[in-house]
Amino acid sequence: MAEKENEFRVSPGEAVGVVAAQSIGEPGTQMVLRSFHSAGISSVITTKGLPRIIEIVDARKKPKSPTMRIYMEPGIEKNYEKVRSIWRKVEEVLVSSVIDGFEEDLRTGTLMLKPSKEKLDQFEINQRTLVAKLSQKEGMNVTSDEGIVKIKVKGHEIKQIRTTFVNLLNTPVIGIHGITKALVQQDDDGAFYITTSGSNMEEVVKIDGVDKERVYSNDPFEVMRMYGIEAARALIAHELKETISEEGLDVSFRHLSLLADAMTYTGSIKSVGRHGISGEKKSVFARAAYEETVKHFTNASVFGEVDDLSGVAENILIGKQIGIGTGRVKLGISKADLKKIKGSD
Amino acid sequence: MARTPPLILKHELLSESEARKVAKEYGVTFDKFPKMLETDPQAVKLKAKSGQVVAVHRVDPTGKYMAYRYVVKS
Repeated sequence: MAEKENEFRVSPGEAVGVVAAQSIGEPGTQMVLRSFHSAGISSVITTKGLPRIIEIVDARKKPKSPTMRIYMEPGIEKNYEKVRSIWRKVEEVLVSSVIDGFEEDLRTGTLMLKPSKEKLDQFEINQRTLVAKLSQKEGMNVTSDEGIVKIKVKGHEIKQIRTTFVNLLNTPVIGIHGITKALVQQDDDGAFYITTSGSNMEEVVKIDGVDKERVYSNDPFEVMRMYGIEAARALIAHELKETISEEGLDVSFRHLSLLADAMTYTGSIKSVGRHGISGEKKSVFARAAYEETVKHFTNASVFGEVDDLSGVAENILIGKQIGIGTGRVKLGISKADLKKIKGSD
Repeated sequence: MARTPPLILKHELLSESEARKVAKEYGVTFDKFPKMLETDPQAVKLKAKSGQVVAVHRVDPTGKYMAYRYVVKS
């Protein structure tokens, strides 16, 4: 068995990075270039295809379509009512989406909201919650009547008052900031979970009943902040694999795993390219061979950088044997042995 | 979308002798290991200080294996 296992191992000196790059690059040419959004009511929109791959590999701080998957604690994951009540706490409902209209008086700084009974019922909230939420804001004087909420704002400048009004209308009444849409879905084993459009793990784990260890987000940076670098590495590899298989292509997981390893090697997420992995190489020649050749050479000469020619790119450049495969090993001889050979002839 | 994989993997703090054994097995010094920041949530959980080695029990489609990270100051 051990012998068999050894046969499948990669030999020392194998250029795994080059193989991985080619293995990902070739199927990549067949992927859709357009960022494609499928229409539908039931699904949360996600970026797919090549744009998503580029997004991950470039380590963008804000993904185009962040999404989360929230699992429940084992005790309540099959109880639809309980999951539904959690769902209510997740989806963000803005003040502007529960009112029929508003009137503003910029002279006196008052804003009159007309909460819609229908819309409030639809989100299962009442006027009192709305008023309570608005009263939390500083410098507000909120009075409430049947079907009307009056807010008096401090301040004199019209521009300032106007900004406050706009901010007020965009205040979430319930839900988590950034979650524009949330859906309750059911797994094959009967467990319910919530998928969202928009991601905010910090807030989600504060909700009771949510499995804090199992929240899944497709934003690597958010996962890194919450769960650490190893979780981010697992996420990057999985998201790449998932995106590629969705296109009906097949790339061995070990290549993607290697890419994820390279991106998270330093303990934080580095992008692939001139600002990340390639731009931080030690060798001047290796950096110059990639992008911005002249810039690297001038900087290197100004600061007196030394290249010890230990990498692959620099040795190809100067025509020396490269340190991969059989070129990796060197032959040595001890001084005593050398004398013996010399003595013999 | 298929079921998502668990993101949190089991982390384990290695003692100095264990860490040195691992380094010897791979024939490298600690600074050649992948790094993990001292401020990393998992490092904080294990109270790992810079200079220590954390073992990670990785589970992925290629199987189960161990990975190691060297804790460094951020």
